Amino acid sequence: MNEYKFLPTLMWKYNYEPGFDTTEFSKSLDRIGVKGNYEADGGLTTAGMGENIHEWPSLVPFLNWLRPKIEVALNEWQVNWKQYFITKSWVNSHPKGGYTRTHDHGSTHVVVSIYIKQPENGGYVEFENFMRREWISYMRRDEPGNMHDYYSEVPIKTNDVLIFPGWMSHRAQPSKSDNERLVFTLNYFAQ
Amino acid sequence: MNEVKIIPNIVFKYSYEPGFNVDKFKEHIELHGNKSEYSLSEADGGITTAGNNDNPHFWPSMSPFLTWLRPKIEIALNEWDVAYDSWFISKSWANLHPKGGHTKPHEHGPGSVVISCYVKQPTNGGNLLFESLLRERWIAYSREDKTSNIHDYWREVAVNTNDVLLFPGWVTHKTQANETDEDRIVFTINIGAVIQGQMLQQDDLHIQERSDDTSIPRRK
Repeated sequence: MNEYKFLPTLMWKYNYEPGFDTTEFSKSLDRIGVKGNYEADGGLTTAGMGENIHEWPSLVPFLNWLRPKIEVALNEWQVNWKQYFITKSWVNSHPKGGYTRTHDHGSTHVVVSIYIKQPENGGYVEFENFMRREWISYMRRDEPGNMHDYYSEVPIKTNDVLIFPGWMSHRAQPSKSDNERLVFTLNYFAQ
Repeated sequence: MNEVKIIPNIVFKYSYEPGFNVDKFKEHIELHGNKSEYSLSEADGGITTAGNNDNPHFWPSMSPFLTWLRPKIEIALNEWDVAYDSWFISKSWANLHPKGGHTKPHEHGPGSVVISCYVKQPTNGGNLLFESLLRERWIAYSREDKTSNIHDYWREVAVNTNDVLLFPGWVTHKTQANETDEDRIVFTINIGAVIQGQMLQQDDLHIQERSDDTSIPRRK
């Protein structure tokens, strides 16, 4: 292996095989869903509306499954931590055409995005190419999603779980499906 | 494998087992070396032949090494999604560091692949340090106070004789000081990559000579 690991791994993708019962997530959206600052063209979110999804007893098995994966990330990023906790959680929904605008999670240390319902053609997640400027002086291949492009696409399917640092700007592609896309997100803080 | 590759690999490290002709490099440095007092990057006794016309990659004896190197350059260019149909060596040179000598922080300018070849690397001869990319992104995270981790300003890459490192020209790097009585010798190559059909040829260029009468007058 001649690749020298110069930067840590920034993102992990797992799949939570037991899956999620989407009924309660949909009810939560019906109850308190709002457009918010980042949802567009029909997108709704429960972020900031006072209900934290991770407190539901039904999610205990998932959170237990997730725990070692959070620690893998914190250790990979050489964070000096003794404990961590969830600061908030919420669910987003996107009907056909709906999407999430570019945003980051501020000083959140670990973001977990869980694709509890990802229809075919439901749109992927895109991360801002934060090193794009470094490569400006190189002749570029004009292909979407490569490192000369402004965003890199990460394909996702139902029950995929993405873990990444809060400073990485990202957005969702518009859903092209008649079926709703549902994304459950957790913010973790470590100290 | 759960790791998502969101950025390309930046640094490649190989070892060139046949090794290099150390005496030939010593002769080259003796003939063409600029001591550190005349060099912007070398310090405390470091000597460089950068900027001299006797580029080591021209030596016929380097041909096997350059043949060995060729596919590794293309791996880097492809990993970095560079559009190219040709690549070329723009220059090469050698640095020598006696005890205490080192190279100051620097980059190799736009669009290049840098190849650093450790022709002679004594034990405790000092390693290579890369500026920590993205360090500022991790400031909000409680850091482990360890040298050379992602929270530190520099990342140390251990090097041995015959190691060959490839990295992009924009990565700032420097060397540690040589702590031994033996000289360290590093041979460096700069590579450019282009699509030839998209480059203007020399005859097509409308070159203007620099004039000294266009500067904006300084305010008093």
